[in-house]
Amino acid sequence: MWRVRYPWLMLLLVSAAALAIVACGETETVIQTVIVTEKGDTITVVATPTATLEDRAMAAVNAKKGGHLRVSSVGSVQSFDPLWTTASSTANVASLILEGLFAYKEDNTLGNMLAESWDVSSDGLKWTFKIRSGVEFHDGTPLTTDEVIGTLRRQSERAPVFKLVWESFGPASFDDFIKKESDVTFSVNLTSQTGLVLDALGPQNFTPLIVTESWYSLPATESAPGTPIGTGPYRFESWTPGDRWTAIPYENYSSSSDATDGEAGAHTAFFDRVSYIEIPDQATRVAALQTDAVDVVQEFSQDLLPRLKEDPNVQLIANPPNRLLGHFNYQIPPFNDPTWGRQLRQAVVMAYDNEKALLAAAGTPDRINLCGSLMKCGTAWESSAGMEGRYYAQRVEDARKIVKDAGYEGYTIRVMDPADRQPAHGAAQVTREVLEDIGFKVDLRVMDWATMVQDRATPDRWEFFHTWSGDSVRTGPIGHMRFGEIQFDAWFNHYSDTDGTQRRIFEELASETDQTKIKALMDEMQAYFYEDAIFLQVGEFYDNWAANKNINGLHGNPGGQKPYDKFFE
Amino acid sequence: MWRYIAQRILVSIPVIIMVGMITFTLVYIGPGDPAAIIAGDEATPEILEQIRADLGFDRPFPVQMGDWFWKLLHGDLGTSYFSRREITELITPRLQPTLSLGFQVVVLSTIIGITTGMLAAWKAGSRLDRNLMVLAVLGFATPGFWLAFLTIWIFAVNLGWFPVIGYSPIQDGLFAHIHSLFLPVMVNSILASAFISRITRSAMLEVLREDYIRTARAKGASELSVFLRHAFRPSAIPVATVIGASIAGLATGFVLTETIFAIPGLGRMLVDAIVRRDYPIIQALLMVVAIVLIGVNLIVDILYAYIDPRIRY
Amino acid sequence: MAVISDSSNEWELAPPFSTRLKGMFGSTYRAAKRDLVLAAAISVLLVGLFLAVFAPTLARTDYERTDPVNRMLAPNSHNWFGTDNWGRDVFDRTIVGTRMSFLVGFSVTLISTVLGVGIALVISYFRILDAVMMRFVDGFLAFPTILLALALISLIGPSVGNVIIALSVTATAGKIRLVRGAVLSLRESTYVEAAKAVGVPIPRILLLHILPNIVGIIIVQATFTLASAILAEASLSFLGAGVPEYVPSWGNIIATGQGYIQVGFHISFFPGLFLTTTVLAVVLIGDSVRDHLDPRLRGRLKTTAAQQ
Repeated sequence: MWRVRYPWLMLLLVSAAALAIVACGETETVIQTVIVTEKGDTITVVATPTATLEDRAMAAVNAKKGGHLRVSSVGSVQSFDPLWTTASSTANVASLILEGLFAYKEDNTLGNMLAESWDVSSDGLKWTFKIRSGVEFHDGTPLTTDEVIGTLRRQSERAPVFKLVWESFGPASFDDFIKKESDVTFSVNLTSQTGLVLDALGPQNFTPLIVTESWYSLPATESAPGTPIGTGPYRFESWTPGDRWTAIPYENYSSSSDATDGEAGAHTAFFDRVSYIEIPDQATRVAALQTDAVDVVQEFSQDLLPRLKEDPNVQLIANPPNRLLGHFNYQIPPFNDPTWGRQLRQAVVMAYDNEKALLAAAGTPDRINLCGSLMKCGTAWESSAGMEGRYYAQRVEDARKIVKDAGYEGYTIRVMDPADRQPAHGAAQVTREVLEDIGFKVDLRVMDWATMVQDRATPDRWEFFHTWSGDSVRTGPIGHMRFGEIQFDAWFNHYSDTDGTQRRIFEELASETDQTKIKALMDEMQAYFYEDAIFLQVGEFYDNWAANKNINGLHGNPGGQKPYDKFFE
Repeated sequence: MWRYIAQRILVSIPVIIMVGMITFTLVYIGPGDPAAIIAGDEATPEILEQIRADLGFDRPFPVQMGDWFWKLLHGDLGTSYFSRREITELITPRLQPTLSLGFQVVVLSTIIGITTGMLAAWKAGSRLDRNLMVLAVLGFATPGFWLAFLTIWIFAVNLGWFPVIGYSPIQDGLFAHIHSLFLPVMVNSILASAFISRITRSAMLEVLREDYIRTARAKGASELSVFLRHAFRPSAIPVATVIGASIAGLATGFVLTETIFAIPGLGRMLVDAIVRRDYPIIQALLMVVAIVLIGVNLIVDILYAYIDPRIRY
Repeated sequence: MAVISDSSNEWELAPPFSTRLKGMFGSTYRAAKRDLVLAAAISVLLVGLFLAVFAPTLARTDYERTDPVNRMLAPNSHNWFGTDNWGRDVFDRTIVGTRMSFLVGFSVTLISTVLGVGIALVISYFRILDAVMMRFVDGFLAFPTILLALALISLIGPSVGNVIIALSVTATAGKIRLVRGAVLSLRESTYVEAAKAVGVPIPRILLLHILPNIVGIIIVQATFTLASAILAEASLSFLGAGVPEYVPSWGNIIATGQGYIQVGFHISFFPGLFLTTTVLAVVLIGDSVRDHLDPRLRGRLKTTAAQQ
């Protein structure tokens, strides 16, 4: 009676294992039924036998309809207001729900969105824009020029190209600059000619995405509360903060009559529902894709590429090269020091180990490009002006002397370290080492990306942080201008072009047409960039994103990641 | 009985007040100017003053604390710094995952713990007993987040039996729901049942030494009946205590497992809030968790009285 | 964290604890010889202590600096535990991580034991102080340790010192409740009554008559505080609320590996193994000490200790 031993334990373990196997087996069936119910009802539409041409076109559209697209979003959504922050989690919202006047075509030029046509007066000073009629916001408000002008007014202080055109080529007052002509037309009134008017209204940092009065009446520095109401193909459905937000097709969507091209032209919402799901851990993101818990993963550790390449259900899409940057805080010491600030910034740039930082950010040597050009590498604009002895120079001793002479030895630099975004997280590790090597103390402040986005807008919380940007649309001076890489007064680091060099160069650029002169001006700009060490140019890296193979239409150019016009095969 | 319950409830009121005072004071003396956080970018001193006055941050400490308690009584937990939404609104969608996880773990760990504990006590000194107790010690020593890591590696990454991410809400199907929570439930249950098993065993052994058990045996009661009828009920008191206490342990376990398994529950909400220094959420969650635990203890106390009427006097 | 409302009732102690204690250290060696498990546990702890002191000098690599050229290497003859995602040697980081665990574990144990016992002894003889203090203790014990520690650290900032402070707060509260319960029941015992009757001053009674009789529980409890504090430190580091990521601690090495579970299983596996082994050793030693002091307590302390 008392001599029972091992068999009990074995029985327990075996039954646990059996339970596990049973649990697993049954659920697989359930998943399959789910898939069938998600798409099953749509297939019947195709089989309609006697169809007119129009019916058949409709049937073709309907055949693509259906399904629930689940995207693993990057970072946590803090605000749905893309006019308030440039965070990529918020930009996702913009791409689905809100629309601007112009958008990128696949070849990186601008195409019409809410703007339908425009006229230029013979003197080139008055540009009249006509917006598309019959467009309704998701709450039923019809789109008029009031919304367009209201939105432009809210963005006027922050959208860099708009601001440049207004300040350098327009009248002092906003009301003289942008005028309402009718409910469907408005004009941009200049005091001198420039070719940048479309760019001023088009995509850039803080793109003017047209919103209703409840949002455009707010100050630009205030995050709009509530949920986004736009004119896009999808409308907002629900949000579980910290988990996911979802959108569903907007039944009254008025599509452009232009052909679909990248982000511009006509769009169709094929999916029944699109969800952006927050998965903070990158390993989990990939596992989620492989186990069919999400359909698109925008960012993951590139160490997992070999695994994903072997997976027959996964498609990999190469991103355009990314540019890894590091920003100084121009509002507090040490980098705003009136006498030493510029040299301290130069010290960081000259001591930096760019190769190590790029490797830490991107993984392997085949995914990095040590390129210090301010203009896009590999294009005619690439330049090495001002880089000598500064870019990837690793002059640690010289830099250490500067820091010591400036009296900042042992000064604590707070480096923001967003642990959920690998490129910036990796670079921050290397930055800590470089800064310590040249004599600073470093407080590596671990946070998530969403917090960093919030903190970088607060002047006294940081001295340095890394970020990066996709490069596909940044060709030539304007491309870089749009995203604040050439900057007169950037919004988060508060860099200010104190001696006006950059503004002078840029104003010359804006009215110059001779390509060789433009190139020379850009070289001058870059030389000044390195001279003033405006920010740290680390280099380029390449990465991929991954998606379920049965999603049709994904690509790496503008619009390639947007859920509209894509469908399940 | 009712008098006893009323008395227990009265006793827990000062504890709740204490908990509230600690929570409020912690955040009050903590760093960070809430006005600056709310104002965000480009706030001028005037705007900051205005916000402080609007939100009552310029009033004396006791008044602010009183105000906080008053709002708490009315179910107002404050507003998040990060998302600028009502905290009650943020907490609601996160209750289901945590409660479901908690329910499953408590049920499963109680079943596993009491069964193995009784088996071990029954066969005290046997190899089975020793094996079970070694497992129980291992269960205490293994960090939950590492065990979670191992189970993900084995069952999700290599075998692919369970999803790595995720949570499937009950309304999307009960089976998918249980399947999505299987690994986190297992990890937490294994750890929690280790305690329950040990306590059940020692409580049973203690009772089995009592005189009346000897009497029962002497009167010819079968071993099984002695075990189940005479010994189990008295030993249920320490076991109930441990189950109550293990719920406190679960609160900690959930913070870790919800983070690892990406379950959108209260635990992950707390971790996110801490990363973002969202003090109102930290404050609210601490308060909610403490009140839940005090409530659990209250129930345990009342259960005692039910199991053992002597306690009422 | 014990939320066991009547835990004080569990300590109906037999006085002859002090006599049992005397022989304890002398007999540890003999006990260890008899009991292989205990011997192994003590060896583990000694190796851990050795590593905690000397690991930084034993490390062959610069374990706080990135070396991305050598990242994600599987365990090999040079990097015994492989390298992590920044190319740091996991073996070096793991052995150096011992230091953080032991530093936090022993500091918390020492601070909470000294403070807890001191406060408990004092308040048990002053009714009003006792009433006030116990409300505080009840308040602090109503929070799960890790949650309170997380909240505290988010307020005072992550650093080793702050981790120790945060964990000591609840550990001390637990100790106060435990020791106070024991003292209160001893106070009623005949020999304390007798000492009081012949006019022995209260501090003397506390130190000479009561303290020696509760040393047993205190020591057993201390081993469990140590185990729990080591686990708690690892949990806090894992959640990113401990020391910065580049400073090795078992918790944050495991956290690093978490993101590479598909391709870098080795990163999290080894520090987890070290952590589990250490905690297991401490628990087994605690069990042994307890059985040695009073076999009747078998299985009891675990309840209170484990929750701390």
